[in-house]
Amino acid sequence: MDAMVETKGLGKTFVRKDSTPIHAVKGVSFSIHRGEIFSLLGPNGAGKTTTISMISGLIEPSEGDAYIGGYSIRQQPRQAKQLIGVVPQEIALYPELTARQNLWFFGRMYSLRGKELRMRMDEVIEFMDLEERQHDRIDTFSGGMKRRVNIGVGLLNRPQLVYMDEPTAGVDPQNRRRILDTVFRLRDEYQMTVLYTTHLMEEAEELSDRIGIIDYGEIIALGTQAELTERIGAEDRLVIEVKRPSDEETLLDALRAHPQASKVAYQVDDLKDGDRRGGNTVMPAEEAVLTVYCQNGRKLLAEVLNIIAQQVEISSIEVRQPDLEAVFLHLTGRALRD
Amino acid sequence: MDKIFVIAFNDLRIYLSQRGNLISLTAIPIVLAAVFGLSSAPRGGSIAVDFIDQDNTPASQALVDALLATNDAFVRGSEVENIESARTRVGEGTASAAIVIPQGFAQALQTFEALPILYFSREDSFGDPIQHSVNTVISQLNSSIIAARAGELVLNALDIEAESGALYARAQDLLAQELVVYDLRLSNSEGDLQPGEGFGQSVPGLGAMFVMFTVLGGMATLLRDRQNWTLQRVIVMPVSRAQVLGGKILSLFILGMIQYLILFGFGGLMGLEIGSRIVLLVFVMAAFALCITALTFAIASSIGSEGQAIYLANLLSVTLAALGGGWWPLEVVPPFMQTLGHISPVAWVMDGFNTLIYFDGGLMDILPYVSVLFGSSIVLFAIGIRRFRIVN
Repeated sequence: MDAMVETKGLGKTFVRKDSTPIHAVKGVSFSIHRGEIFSLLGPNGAGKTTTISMISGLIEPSEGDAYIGGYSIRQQPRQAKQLIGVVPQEIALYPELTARQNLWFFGRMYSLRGKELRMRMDEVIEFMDLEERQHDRIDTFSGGMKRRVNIGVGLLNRPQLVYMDEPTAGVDPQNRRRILDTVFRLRDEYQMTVLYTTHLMEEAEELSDRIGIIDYGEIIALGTQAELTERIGAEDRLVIEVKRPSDEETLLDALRAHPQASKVAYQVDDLKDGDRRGGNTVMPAEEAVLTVYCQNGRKLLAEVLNIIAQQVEISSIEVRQPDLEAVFLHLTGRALRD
Repeated sequence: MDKIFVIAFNDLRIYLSQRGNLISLTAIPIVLAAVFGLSSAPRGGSIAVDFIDQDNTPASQALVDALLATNDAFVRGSEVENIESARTRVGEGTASAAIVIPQGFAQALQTFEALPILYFSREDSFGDPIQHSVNTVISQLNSSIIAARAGELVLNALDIEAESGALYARAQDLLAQELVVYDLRLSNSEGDLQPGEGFGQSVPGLGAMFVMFTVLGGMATLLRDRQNWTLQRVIVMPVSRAQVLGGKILSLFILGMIQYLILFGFGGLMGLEIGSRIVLLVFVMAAFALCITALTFAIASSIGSEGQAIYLANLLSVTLAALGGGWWPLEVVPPFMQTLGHISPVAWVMDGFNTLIYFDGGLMDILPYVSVLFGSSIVLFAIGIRRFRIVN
């Protein structure tokens, strides 16, 4: 299949003030096909933003290269950038200017001018349903409307590749739905390739043709949702919330010893005092979450609960079918929001 | 190049779309320049000089007339009876100087005898121009006497009879035709400013300070662009880092120039004589605006927050203006402060403006000051461009 994006050994190493190198991205190689919606998932600090920043030409790679429509982002950055439309997570607009003035400025940055620029602006305004407010200042817009203008700027140059970084962050359900529909329209009506990042599993599940999971600067899985869930087998997850046990290891050993439990994950969310008041005191969590991976979860549930109940009080129980979140948890050992 | 202009235009449009910025660009500097200009305006009018003519002859009267003719601002003070009351009047400041022409002045001229002319002045007043005038007239007088005496000696040697008074009169006529009496640019009369007075000080001085307020305030704009991600958004488009930098530099430079032109325009309306070399004046403004733009970029990369940027911009503007003679002329501060003041670019731009406005200087006269400003700009830009970050 024809690749819209191809990375070859793309890597980035930052150097701290004390000269310690940090390998944010460790030579990743992957392709994004033309006309597909590709989601890149990864917990914070996994290297997701750094990878995309290199692909979009925001930061220079330390090693390797990325090709956009065949153009090297290092050797032919102008040609490569001409094919990309970027929709950042931030509302990257000038609040003092009107929607139309913002579009004009960014259009000029794509070397559009005159009649062609006016036509593209009108096109975007219509596509994003902004006709009535096009002459209003951005700082008078609601969050959802700002998001729409933000997306519109990324479409001005009729890009072949649109990179969208969490475009639904902080948006109400109605506007969120509209944005997701827009993503589908970009692929289906305009044959654009969409590179999408989100921390919402259900969004990734709904939108993506293929998904890449990145962790510790490496692509650890890539494929369709079906291919990814297949990797962990058709296992169910028993998610059991308990009072935090005094002897965690004994409980985990007992669960792991069960012949039908393929994997046991244990998660405690200690609350750092700094989260609330800027201090550094750690407040131990009173609750913990146990996740037991197994075939036929419902059948095994009684036995698992029996093991747990002998050692600790149970707060809630949930049996989950295999999904993207399970894949993510399975591969990274962390929830996406961690 | 086109994108540089578009970036600059966009930044200017954003700046000028805010009412607060318009007020700080126009109303506040104009009001302050007016207040400072009017309160430090020259007292104008005349310089009173008392004459005690104890000789009271046509010759002594001619001396008084010659002295008064050297400067339009000199006026004859009140009739003073004796030397003591003349001293008192000068001491009190009622008169700026007093000149005593002793009895026998005319006779002494005829006989070529030396006769002292007394001169009193206030040290803190206009003593200097008056004294210069007195010296000039006395020199002329002495030259006439010497010429007449030399002529008489020659005639005597040739055994020809001649009247010494006629010789003296002829010598004085000839000398008066040749001598330049006095450089009137040092005079102080109504409408003729001295450096540091009136709008001649407030317009360029406060102009420099407000250029710094406006341009250094650009640090906050650069920071906001990065925080809002608009800077990053531009760089992921087909725009080079050099074009982004060029646009940002150009917009701040133009803002600095607008600020200066507004104040000088106001100064012109208030009667400030800008001089005949407006192009050179704009050249000096440009050198300063560029220097402050470069300073903005050199500092901007070290600033962590918008609040910090605004605080630093205000602090630097006020301090550098005060230090460099933006508030008051450097001539009134001690010599070591005059030297120290030249670490501020304001001192160099004020030197340039003073040279053009007060001394009608040319390109070669302002070149040293402008060179310092351009040289500083190059160094500061080198630092600023190297440290300029698009991504945090």
